[in-house]
Amino acid sequence: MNYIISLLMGAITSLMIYLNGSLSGAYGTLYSTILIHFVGLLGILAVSIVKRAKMNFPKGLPLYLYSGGLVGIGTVTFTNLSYAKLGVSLPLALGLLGQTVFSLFADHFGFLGMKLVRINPKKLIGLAIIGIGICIMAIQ
Amino acid sequence: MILLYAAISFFSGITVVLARMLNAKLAEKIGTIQATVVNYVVGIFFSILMLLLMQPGFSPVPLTNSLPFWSYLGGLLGIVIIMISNYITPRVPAFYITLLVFLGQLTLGILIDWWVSREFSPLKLLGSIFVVAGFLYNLLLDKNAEKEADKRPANNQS
Repeated sequence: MNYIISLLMGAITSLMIYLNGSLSGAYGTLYSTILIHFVGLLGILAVSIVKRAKMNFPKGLPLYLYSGGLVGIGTVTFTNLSYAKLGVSLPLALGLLGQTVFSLFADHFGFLGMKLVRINPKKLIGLAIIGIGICIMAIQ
Repeated sequence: MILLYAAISFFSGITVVLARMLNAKLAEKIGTIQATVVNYVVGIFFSILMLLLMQPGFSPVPLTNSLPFWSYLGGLLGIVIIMISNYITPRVPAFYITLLVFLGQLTLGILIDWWVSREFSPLKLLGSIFVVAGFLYNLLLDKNAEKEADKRPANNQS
């Protein structure tokens, strides 16, 4: 069931990229980023009212835990920068390679308290096949 | 120049996974909804800052009038994604998440591209079959490793 939910998450991501892309085309990259976040904030505030969630900020939490939103801005900016120069398919493929490689390393080192999964050297074969696929996708 | 933008694309993938981990970790401490509010408030703060720094003469009016209302709903989908992501990240290893999210993204991505451009790219499909094959190979390696790990404690008990 968790796997099906993960699959759905990807499909929703594609839909979102398409919608945000058309918004970005109309308003420009930076201003549309604000609009996208503003609509998102309204959505999550509605959810928090329905669920009666109370905001609480326990003391002693490291500041970097709050940086997810900043990192997310990086994603939007990087994506828009590369889309403008390389089109759609290549940034998608390369971004996914970045995700894979970083996920493997993050699991290997148990980064940020993630479940520890050591890199199996055989996985380099899989990465190589992925790389070949990306090269084929890059031929346009 | 192409390599620079290729590197930028690669980095966008790293920030995707990093943001996912950070948000899940914060959600663990203060709650999923609260962490998502923080994520968006921080996002708005820094995107406004960037707009003021990089594009002081911005236009708050759309450049085209033919923008359908659902173009504005991407932000809501972002909320759905973050809620799902916060739920799934502590339950599924990051590598599995990456594979399944990719499969879903690719399937709908190819469908949307096809629908928008009215032209189907066979090379994109062929390349993505290779990518999925590579992912699947690594996924099977993980499954076998998990089976081995399950066997060992059972043997110790007997």
